[in-house]
Amino acid sequence: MELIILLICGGLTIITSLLVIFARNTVHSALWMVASFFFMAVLYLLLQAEFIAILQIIVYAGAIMMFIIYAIMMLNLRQEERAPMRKTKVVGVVALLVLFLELLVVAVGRGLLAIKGPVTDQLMAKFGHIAVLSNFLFSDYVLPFELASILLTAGVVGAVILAKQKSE
Amino acid sequence: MIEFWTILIIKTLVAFAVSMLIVAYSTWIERKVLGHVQLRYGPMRVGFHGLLQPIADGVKGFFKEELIPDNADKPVFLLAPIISIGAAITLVVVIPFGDTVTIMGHKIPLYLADLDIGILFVLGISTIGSYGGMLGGWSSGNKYGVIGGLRASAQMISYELPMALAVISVVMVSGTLSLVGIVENQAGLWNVVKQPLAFFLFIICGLAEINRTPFDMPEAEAELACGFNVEYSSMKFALFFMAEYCHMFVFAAMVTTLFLGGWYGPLLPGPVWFFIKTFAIIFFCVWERSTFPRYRYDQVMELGWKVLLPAGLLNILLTGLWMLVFNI
Amino acid sequence: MEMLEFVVPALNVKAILPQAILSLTALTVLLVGVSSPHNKKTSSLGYLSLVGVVVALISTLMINGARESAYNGMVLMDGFSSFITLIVCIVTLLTILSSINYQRFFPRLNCGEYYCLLLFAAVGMSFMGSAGNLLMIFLALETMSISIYVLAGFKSDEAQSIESAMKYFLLGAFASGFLLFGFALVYGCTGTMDLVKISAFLTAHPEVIHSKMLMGGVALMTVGFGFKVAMFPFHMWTPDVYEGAPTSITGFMATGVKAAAFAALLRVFFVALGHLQADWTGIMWLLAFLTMTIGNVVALSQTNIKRMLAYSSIAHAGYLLVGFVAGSKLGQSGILFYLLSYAFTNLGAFGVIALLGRDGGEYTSLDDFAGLGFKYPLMGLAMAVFMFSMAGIPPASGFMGKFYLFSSAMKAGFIWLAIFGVINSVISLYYYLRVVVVMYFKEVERDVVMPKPSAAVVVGLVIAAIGVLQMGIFPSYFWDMARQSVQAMLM
Repeated sequence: MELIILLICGGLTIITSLLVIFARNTVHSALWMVASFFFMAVLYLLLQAEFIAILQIIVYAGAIMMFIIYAIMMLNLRQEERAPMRKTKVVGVVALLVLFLELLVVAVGRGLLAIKGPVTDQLMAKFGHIAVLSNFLFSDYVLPFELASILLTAGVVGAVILAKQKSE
Repeated sequence: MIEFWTILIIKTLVAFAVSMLIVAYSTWIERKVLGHVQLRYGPMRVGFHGLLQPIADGVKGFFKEELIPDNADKPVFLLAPIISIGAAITLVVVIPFGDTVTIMGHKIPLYLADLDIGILFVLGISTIGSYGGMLGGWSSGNKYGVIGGLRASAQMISYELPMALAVISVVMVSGTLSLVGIVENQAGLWNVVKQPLAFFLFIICGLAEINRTPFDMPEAEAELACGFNVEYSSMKFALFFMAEYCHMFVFAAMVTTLFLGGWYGPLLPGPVWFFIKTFAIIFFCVWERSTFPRYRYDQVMELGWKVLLPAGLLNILLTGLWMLVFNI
Repeated sequence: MEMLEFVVPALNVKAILPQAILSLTALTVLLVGVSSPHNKKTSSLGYLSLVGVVVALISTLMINGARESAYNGMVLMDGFSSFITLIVCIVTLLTILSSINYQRFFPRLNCGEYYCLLLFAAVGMSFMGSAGNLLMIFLALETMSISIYVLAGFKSDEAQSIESAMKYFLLGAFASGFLLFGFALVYGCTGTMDLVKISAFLTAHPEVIHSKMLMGGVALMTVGFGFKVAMFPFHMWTPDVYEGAPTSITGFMATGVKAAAFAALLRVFFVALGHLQADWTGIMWLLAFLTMTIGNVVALSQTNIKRMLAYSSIAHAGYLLVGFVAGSKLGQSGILFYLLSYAFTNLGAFGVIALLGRDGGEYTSLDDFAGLGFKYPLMGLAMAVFMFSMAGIPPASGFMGKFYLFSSAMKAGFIWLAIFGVINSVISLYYYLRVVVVMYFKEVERDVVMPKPSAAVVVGLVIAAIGVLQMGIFPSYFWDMARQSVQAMLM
């Protein structure tokens, strides 16, 4: 059962991701990306990580893609201009294949070592994903959590200052 | 196993039917209440005091001519209402209508799913729902539609944050994200007493999220000729319409669940209390629509970012301090 | 239902004291800046942040000597982290002193956000020195980078500044992606992100050491760090970014980022991945050689002094990599010493260049310096000292830095690399000394008038010059400090 869902959703993730690249219309492209995020969220669910799944939907499919589509609409990009096949594209395809082969080598050639960390499926099934996650977040990872808040503050301050019109 | 699935399917069907019925009759409530506020009767012809009007409207929706504008983006144009209604109905899944009841020896909880992430699910899916309006406006290739769509998305982004902040403080006092857990936590004292500011914020942001007056920017009739759904007709328009009322129902149910103690109440059985409270909120939504004028667009943005967002943060801070001092 | 055991970690203020002071100062400056928008004419924000940095500097010196890991291994408090925090504080101090003068002519820079981001960047940098976990390293790196992307584009009315920020941001985000992917692969191999535990795992499972996955992770991490330290072939962004950024920020970028990135590089490669040393030495040898050669050779033909210093910064990354290749404690101490010396030197040089900036215009062409040596003797003297130090001419600290780096390479058996390093230093003499020659012996073509510098920047330049000469003439104090820091590094 899980394997079937995994195969279907994994396949759909790949297909929709490809459609993101190949869709000619920018809005369609963005919508395929939303779809791909959705299927990815299902994959997270299969890993018992429901919190990450819903964050994937709220943050990526919801907020970030909403901003992207908003920007596309503001710029009124309807149809991408058809550019001829350029050298850069060939280079891109070659680089892509090399990276893909590299991944294959890493994944298949030596085999993943499958080392289990402290957070296992059993633990999450027992206490629920959120309890386990929050427990780690506020104990072992409290300092990175705080540092992340500094990072986000810096990001917000930076975004505001760059976007601010000349008010002086 | 079979029994489990049977119960699940029956429950799904019942929940679906009930919410559709509520959606249909919310439109009736809206028209009647608006009518009476404005010293007129509202619909009177079909059925007793217009009681069958929603059904007549539905039938009418099916038989009207389907129009797709020439320069519309067809797939997206078709998809938009589906996203809108799909997301709205999905939300019904997590609403806890009542506690566990025993029917014919089976213990049946009166909710479809008690998710660990319940409230986040609501926030997430309602975000997706607002894609409907945005895409509908854009794909129709009408400038009013596009402006409506842009307004919808901007408003959604601005009000989602304070709404989430209001929810966070509720989660803080409840200690759980599960909606059932949040209701059970209010057995003694309702959250509206514990979290008055959050209640206030949630109501305001909720009205903005479901595009009700005074925040109905995306479909401001006077300026945008109906906004994002200007080019929609027949059933597709009806789907948008239904999605809007379904969202209103879910919003009312969420206020009930998060702040008004869900199914708890004296004497009457749980689900009855739940619906009484929910309909009170729905009535409130209609009432305020007939009383408040619409905000100007920049005022909407300013309110969201400069007032509600800091207020939400302040509320979290106060809640945290409260919990620290009284060691809850 | 059974409950998870929730262990609240011990609040170890001491371990994060300098960073906490810097963060609090940053937030205070931000709030003061927002709440009093009328003090545009004064430099109160600059002095406020200065106070914070000085306090952080003192606190660093106070906790120096403690040796423990805090917050479940997230922060390693040891001599190494103290030394890096010290460098970061000095860098920030000199940058603020220079900014106080610079902002008089570029009022856009005189706001709370500028100093806030500067301090946040400093927080990120010093956490990179003390991080004991890949997650912390990544977060610290991003805190530093994001602040600096914005600082580079702070003159948002100038196309060049925006170009600089944009280039740095796009390429930097790409590099962060590589770094993160590398971390992910290492995590996948070892099942932990803690640097010390990674090393322990590799000791226990030697078969993992040569797995392709770990190798891939190390390679990707090298790309990510290489970008930040401007290592060949990831150095392309440097000249454009350095040229476009406000001059007061360029020096900060060149020294602070380099120090922080090298600190993280040393920690990750020597603490966590020490077992792979034999594998990376060869490739690093080549990269060190190419980095210094490319930097020096291209710098020869530059006519803009900021671009020239950008290429010189690439070359200096190459020299630092020599110490990295040597791999010994001596090499690591050499890197620390050189980073401090480079901080004084480079910030001094950029401080002098920033002196010429005025009313929207900057004078960064080499010809603009013609005749300035006699016109403004003190400024000319300071610039000459900094250029001598960059080139590595004896009384200045650059000589001692290079001496320690190259001798550590010699002792580790990399004689050819040391020889190439010396050859490169000779090449670099040409363009560093050209600045001095132009200042004193070239005909004046364009009359450049230097506005009267404020007291702050004079103090800053004096500190930098004293630092350069002190480290050059009496290096033993700083050298011992660097050596002890490396000795005390938690493994």
